Amino acid sequence: MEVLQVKKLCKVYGNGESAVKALQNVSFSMEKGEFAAVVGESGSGKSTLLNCIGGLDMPTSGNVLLEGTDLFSMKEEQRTLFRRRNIGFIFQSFHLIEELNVEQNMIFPLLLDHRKPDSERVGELLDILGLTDRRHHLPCQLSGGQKQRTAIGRALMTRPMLVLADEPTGNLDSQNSREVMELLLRASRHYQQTVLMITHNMQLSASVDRVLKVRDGKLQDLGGTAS
Amino acid sequence: MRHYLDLVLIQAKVQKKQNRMTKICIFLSVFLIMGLFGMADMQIKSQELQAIQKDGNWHVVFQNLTEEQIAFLEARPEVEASGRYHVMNYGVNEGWQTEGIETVLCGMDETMMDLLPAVQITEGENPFYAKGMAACSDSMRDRLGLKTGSTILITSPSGENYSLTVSGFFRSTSMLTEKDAFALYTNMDTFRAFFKEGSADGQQEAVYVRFVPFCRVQKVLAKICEQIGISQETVGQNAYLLGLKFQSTDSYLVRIYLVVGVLALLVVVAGVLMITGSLNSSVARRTEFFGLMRCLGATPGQVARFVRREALGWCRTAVLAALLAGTVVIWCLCGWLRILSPGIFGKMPVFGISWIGLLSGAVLGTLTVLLSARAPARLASKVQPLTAVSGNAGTTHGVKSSVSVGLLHVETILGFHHAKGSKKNFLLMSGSFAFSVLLFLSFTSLNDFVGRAFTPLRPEAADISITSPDNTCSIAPELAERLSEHPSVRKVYGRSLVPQITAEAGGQEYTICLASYEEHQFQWAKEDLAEGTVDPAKEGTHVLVSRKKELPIEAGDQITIRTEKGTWELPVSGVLDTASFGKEPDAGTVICSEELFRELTGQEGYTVIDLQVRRGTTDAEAGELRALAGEGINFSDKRLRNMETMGAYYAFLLFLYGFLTVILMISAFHIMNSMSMSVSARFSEYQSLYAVGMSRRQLLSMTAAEAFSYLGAGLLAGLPAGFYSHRLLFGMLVASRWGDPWRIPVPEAAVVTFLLLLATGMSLLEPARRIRQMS
Repeated sequence: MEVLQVKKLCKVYGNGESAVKALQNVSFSMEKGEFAAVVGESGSGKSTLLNCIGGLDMPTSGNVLLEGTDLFSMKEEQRTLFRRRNIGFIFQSFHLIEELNVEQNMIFPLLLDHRKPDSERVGELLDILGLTDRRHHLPCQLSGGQKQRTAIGRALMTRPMLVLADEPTGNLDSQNSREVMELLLRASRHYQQTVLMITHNMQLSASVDRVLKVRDGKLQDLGGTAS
Repeated sequence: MRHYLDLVLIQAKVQKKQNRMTKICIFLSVFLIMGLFGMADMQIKSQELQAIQKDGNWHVVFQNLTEEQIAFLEARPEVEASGRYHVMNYGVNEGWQTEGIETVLCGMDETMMDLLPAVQITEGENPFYAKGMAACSDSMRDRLGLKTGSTILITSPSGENYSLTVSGFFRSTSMLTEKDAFALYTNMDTFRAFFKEGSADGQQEAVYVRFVPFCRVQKVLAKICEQIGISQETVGQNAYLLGLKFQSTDSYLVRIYLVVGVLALLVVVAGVLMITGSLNSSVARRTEFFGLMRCLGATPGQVARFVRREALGWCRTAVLAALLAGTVVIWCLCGWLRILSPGIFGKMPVFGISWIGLLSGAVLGTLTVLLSARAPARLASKVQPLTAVSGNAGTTHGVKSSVSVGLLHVETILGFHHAKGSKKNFLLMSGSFAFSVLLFLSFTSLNDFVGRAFTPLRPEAADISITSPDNTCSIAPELAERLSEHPSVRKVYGRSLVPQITAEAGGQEYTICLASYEEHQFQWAKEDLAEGTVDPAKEGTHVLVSRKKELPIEAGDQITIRTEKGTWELPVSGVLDTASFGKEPDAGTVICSEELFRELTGQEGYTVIDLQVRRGTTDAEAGELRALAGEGINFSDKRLRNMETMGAYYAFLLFLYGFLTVILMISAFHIMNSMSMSVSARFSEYQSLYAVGMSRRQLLSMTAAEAFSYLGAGLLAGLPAGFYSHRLLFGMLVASRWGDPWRIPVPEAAVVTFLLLLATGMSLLEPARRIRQMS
């Protein structure tokens, strides 16, 4: 079942002679539970693609459909509500709220949606992430790996159908990178969540279902593994 | 944590230091509003106390009503107190005398004690329960040696005698001491039996009325007049007291209300601007955080709510602190007033609570914060989620033109460029400077009002005046010397006056009043000098004239004066705005030295000798001065009147300078905050410039150039606006009443320019600290 459909996505910065085509007619789709990696050189358009798919940035043209719902046919407010219920984000530099502890950071998106967190679900996620004994710690008291696991917990808390991760291991050592990958794989395999991850690490892309390469704003589907 | 807005409280606990400036801004704004209304409330209360003491605690007075009309009036539910009152010889010139001294005679109901608190008995008993009894002013007791039970003899203008028994004494009013007269009052029956028959002055019996609190006096009065069938114009009003209760229709008081309204509005706008600036600064500092909230799924509305809740959270502590501080300040002010003028403000509560101040501070303060939070909330809600992930937060200045490096250093040019880079920001920043100037200059117009409204405060104001009864030069100059030797006397200055002298200037004839000044008066005249100089007149070679439409002469002109001694052509060395002494209605005043005066008129004596006495001079000492002056003169003791005016002056002064201080604090904080905000927004750019080789000193120069660009533009806009506002308010408060010409308030403009320069300099301290710590 196709969860994500990207159709002829274009993004142009500036206009006239100074126009930069960051994305050019990018089209692809992803199945439920599929785990894909986006690779490419710096400035190739990977992050722009991810931001457009996540509704953080507006494409110049094209469509992004999540389970058939076109993200950009909605108004800003509506898109935000849709985004917070259906898309989870993981960033390279974690972006945790410094004043909230691990548990509070994880449940924050639910609170924005005026939903009461399910304590069992919180406990289960903390357990999976290995953060049960750190649940009351502030981000400044955590290691880089723990911070990223907290950010993953936050992304998964709302049970989104799509998880977007922008170089989630970029700031981590190899051990922590492996652990993060395992968690993302688990989200994909165990919870049947579709995961799209930007990475520079070719080793990590080896463990994903599919690799997409972006070069000069154009997408190339490399299939099973990166080459 | 159960709600996303709980994050507001969590952040508030952690970010105490970062939020301090915003809290201070809210504190100051609320303090200012609370102060404005609280001090105005206290000011009105103090003025009410004074007005009640001086003129009585009544609202309207009806003349010559029938018993039926009085009964109707007293039965009205709006009437809280009423009493009958009849006075004779109020002008102290009708010939009703006690042992040769003019005596004011009153008959009144007992209820008048409440309506005229100034006549409360201080010794003995009131005279309401027996016929033939009278309460006398304490000056009668002191000068005639009376005691309770003594008999006094009142002589009528026709020479008839009336005998009364003294029941007690009351304190002399300022009017009595000034006119050196006695006063007594009896009950209405005694008055009618003893004096009314002999009264030939046409004075009518009056009924004084005080209405219940919060009654709409003008409306009720119109209704009463209609019902009892009298014209409203025949009803007298205690205009000042009613004015203080916002019940007057007097056009001057209405203008004062308008001025207070305009100033209050300016204060609220200043508060809104300052809090908005501070909240904007807080939002600008946390652009990335709001972007993150948006990334995590917060809608723009939720972000706006977050900012508003934050502002309300700060309100809780800042507003409470401001209300508390405002109350303490008002206590201190009341305490100070009590110490300065216990006679007037002795009844003011030490720990009085201004409910109006508290309520307006709390309500207006919170509303101001909510109003102020609107723009920052909108700003925060417009932060795009991409801001958090792109790493470009704070570097979003839209630069549309490149810098042209000319004669100045590149960092200075960059500073100017930063200032005018964003039109909106430039307008906001320069606008805040301009507004500070406008606010300051507007408030200083009150200074002119205070200076004009309280003339006894002028340096030449006399405490005691000894005047010739027939306004001739009949007082021996030696008296001035004798008086100056008395230990309680600080200054003695006499002058001689000859009115109705014919003068000629520019081919036209005028009637003038010729006045002689001595050294002190010439010195004070310099303050009123509109053109020319004073010294040649002081030396006796020239004369001064007061500027009046009756005498349109300029400095340098010649004036010909014709006296009994001959005709004299004299050069005019200076023109005064007003002659503090020797004013004659419908005639200009020509002032000369004493020697020249003697030469011109042949008169040797003084018409008036004024005395300024030392602080704490007792009534006994004033009595000694009276004895020194001897008989056959008018002795006017103005100390009590001056004290009343001084009291009002101090109250106004506290009000005015208290405000100017807080306005300046607000301006300084606003400017410091705005600069801090501007530097915060550009900090990453500064770091880049530092990285490519710009020194810290150059970075600071760049920041200074930016700050002074705002100041320059602010002064350019603010000074003309401030002058206009000053002129407008001056016109309403001063020119419309005293006719003074408006002048550009240059010293005030210089003060505010200097203070803003200082504040701008101080606003660079925090950026300098951050630049020093930059790595």
